[in-house]
Order: sequence, then structure tokens, then C-alpha cells
Amino acid sequence: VIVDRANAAKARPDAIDITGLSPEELIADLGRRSVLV
Amino acid sequence: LSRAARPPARKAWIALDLPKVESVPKSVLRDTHFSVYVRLTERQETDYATIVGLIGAGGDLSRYYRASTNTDVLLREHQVMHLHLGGPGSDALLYLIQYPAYVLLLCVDTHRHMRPPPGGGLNMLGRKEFEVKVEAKIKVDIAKLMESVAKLVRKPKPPEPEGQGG
Repeated sequence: VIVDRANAAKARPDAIDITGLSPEELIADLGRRSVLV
Repeated sequence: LSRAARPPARKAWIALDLPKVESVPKSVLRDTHFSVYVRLTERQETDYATIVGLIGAGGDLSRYYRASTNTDVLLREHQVMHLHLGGPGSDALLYLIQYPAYVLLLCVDTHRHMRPPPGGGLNMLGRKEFEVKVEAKIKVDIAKLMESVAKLVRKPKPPEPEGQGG
């Protein structure tokens, strides 16, 4: 497994509230947070 | 409840080390450094979405714990809980921290953070920022509330209608 550590270390602006997102939105968001390359 | 029977007050920015996620609705927040270090199956992704939904609704998450949760050093020392995605034998874990009104998601990774020293490889910067911000926000809210109360107390009483004096 190769991890893009530079991308992983990059902080997003703030903690994001994901309460109330639909399962589809949560899974799409999860996919965007993957640092595997 | 009497004063003696009342449970101790919990501060919103202090992480809990309970071996379960409380069954009350909590806001779910994704840490600023949240990343996924594991290639997830469809079932594991569905479990993730289900867990987030259950936390938001105050549902029962016990099927995502393992029996070892009570002897979990990562939980005891760092208040970091791990939930299994895709069944109890899976190596895809959702690491999170529970607060009285929030759950902060740290990352999805393998068991590597459970190995000694537990939590050594976890990025805790986002957690620190989150706790500082929640504490600051609550202190500002309390200060505003106290100011409003002080204004009310200082407000002069309206004069009593004539003829009703003693």
C-alpha cells in the first residue's frame, strides 16, 4: 500500500460537521479523504 | 436528583474514555487531518456511513466493538476508540474520540495504532485544535450570557403606579 503522506499531512481548514449527510454523500466524502495512490 | 446523586459535570471539550459511544444524538465531525489509509470494500464503506448515521441519531453501536474494548490502552490513555468496519475480524478501523456532545473522527487505518506505544502514530494536532476551539467558544458563550444577565440585573425597575404605595 502506497500512502501519499504529503497529502495526508495537509490540514483542512477546520473540523467538518458531517452529521446528517446521506450515506451516498458520506461514502463519496470518505473516498475523497483516501491518501492511497 | 439531589446534589450528592448528581453525576459530575462534564466539559464539552474534555474527551470521554467510555468503552461505548453513548446512545444520545451527537454531532459527528471530521478531523482537519482525517485521512483514509486503507482500501475499503463496499461493505466497509457502508459500515462507515451506518456508524456516522447511528452516532447522529443516538443509536446502538455495540456491534462494531470487540470484547477487548474494556481493556483498550488506546482508549484509556488517549480516549481514542476504534470501531471495526466490515466485521469484527477486519483490519479496517475507524478511529474516533467521543465528547459529551460530539464525536470527532480521526482516521480510517489498520491496527497499527494499537501496537506499542498505542496511539504513537496518530495525528493528534486536529484533536488539540478542536478541543481548544470548543473550549474557547463555550467560554465566549458563557461570557455573553453573564453579560446579558448583568444587564438585566442593572436595568432600573419601572416606577410603581401612583396610589399603590403603603
